Amino acid sequence: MSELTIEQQFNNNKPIPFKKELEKAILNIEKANGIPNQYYIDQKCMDLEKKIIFDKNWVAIGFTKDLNEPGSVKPITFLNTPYLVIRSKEDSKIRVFQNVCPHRGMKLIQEPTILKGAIRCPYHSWCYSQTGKNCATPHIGGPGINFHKDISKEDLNLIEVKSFIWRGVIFVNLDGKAKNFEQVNESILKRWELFDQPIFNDNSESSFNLTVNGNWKLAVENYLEAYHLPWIHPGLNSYSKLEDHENIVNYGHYSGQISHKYKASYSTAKNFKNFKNLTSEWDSKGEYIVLFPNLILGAQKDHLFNLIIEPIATGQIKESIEIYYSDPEMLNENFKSTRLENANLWKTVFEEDIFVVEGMQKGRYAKGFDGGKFSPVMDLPTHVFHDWYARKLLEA
Amino acid sequence: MDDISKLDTDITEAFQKKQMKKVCSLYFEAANYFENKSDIEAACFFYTQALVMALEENHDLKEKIIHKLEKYGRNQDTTLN
Ligand code: FES
Ligand SMILES: [Fe+2]
Repeated sequence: MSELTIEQQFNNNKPIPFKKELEKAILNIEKANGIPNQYYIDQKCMDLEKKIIFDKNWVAIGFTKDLNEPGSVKPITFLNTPYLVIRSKEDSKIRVFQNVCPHRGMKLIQEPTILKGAIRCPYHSWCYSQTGKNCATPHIGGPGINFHKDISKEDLNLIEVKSFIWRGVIFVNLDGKAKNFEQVNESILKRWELFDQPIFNDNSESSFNLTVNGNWKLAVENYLEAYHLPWIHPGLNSYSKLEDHENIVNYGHYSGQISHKYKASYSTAKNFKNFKNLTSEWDSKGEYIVLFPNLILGAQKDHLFNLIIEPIATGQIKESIEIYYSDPEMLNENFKSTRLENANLWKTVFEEDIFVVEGMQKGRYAKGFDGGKFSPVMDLPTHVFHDWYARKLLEA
Repeated sequence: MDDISKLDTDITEAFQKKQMKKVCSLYFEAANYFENKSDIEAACFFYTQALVMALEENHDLKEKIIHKLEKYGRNQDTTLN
């Protein structure tokens, strides 16, 4: 660990604190150390991380299943930025705006709702169409006068945030400077193009949230490895053994695990319909990937899941999980208990992981911990993430 | 002046109950009232109040209100979407 304190790291005009330590994360895995402690426990590092990791990249902030009906709007606050996500009645498109009125900065949407017409600011009633255009500035030129010669309406539209929808997930790029989502994520889009088909979520049994007292990166790291399966998920291991797993390693993009023994079996003796036109390898395969920074993904022949990690504080996250099926029939009452069983299975897995994520967070306060060593065989996917993260900071 | 103080009470009540469609038509009524009395300032104030509620509620009165405000030179290039 560096001899400099966190204050000195930030004061010496160093744009990136603990640069030397971060440089160790991008060494070959045999030589590498993990990301230094401070990036898990220090608020200043988290603020920096917000600017470099979260504001400049494509980040998952919510699910489209909350916006099925045209006119539906939902406020989402992610890392303190207030967003409003809206499916416009005009063209049925989902757009993301900053949830703020260009007049005096009032938060526009407080609760999810279905709009009949314009968004009306609750403060002085300036109005915005569902595509974000200003459509009224009441009394702006004095009582009963709704324009002013020096104020141009075009300057009063809502601030749109660059967004993209994939697999039912709403992604944003806050600074608007990232390359297009399809360009950045070309390799995963290609990898899973067979799953590019309609997906269905019941919005009840198949949705759940967990709060975990650990840094968001630890949730990512833990998901990326199969190494812990025999001890942390003894149940899971009984039908998906460690040796049935294979690393997914794609430096600069994503990583994760393949399970070669995926078996869909439920006590209800019911099976979900498989996704259409999958290749035979998917008969027994599951793929578990993290799209950096904060989206955990699972793909199997009969269901998919998405888990959004929302950093709340240096040592706290909220995980929102949604499970999706291949056919609207799978959402019927007669599949309800099977859906519930499936959701509970995943919930158990994610709950079993809480202990280690929280334990690693506590471990990050040990001054002697140098970011840790990696198993060159078992920890490759974790190293892919550390390499991605450290490079983003070092290149900033 | 009785109808206008009744309108006033009704508007406050509708506001409290969040019946915005009703708020819109009550403002519209108030605007008409003043327009009939040739008090164009007051009329345009209330047409404006009615306008924002009409936009929010996608109320049928929308076009009529815009027409009035444009007629009195109080709205310019009103865009609805
Ligand atoms: S802050 Fe929104 S209208 Fe004034
Ligand atoms: Fe796990």
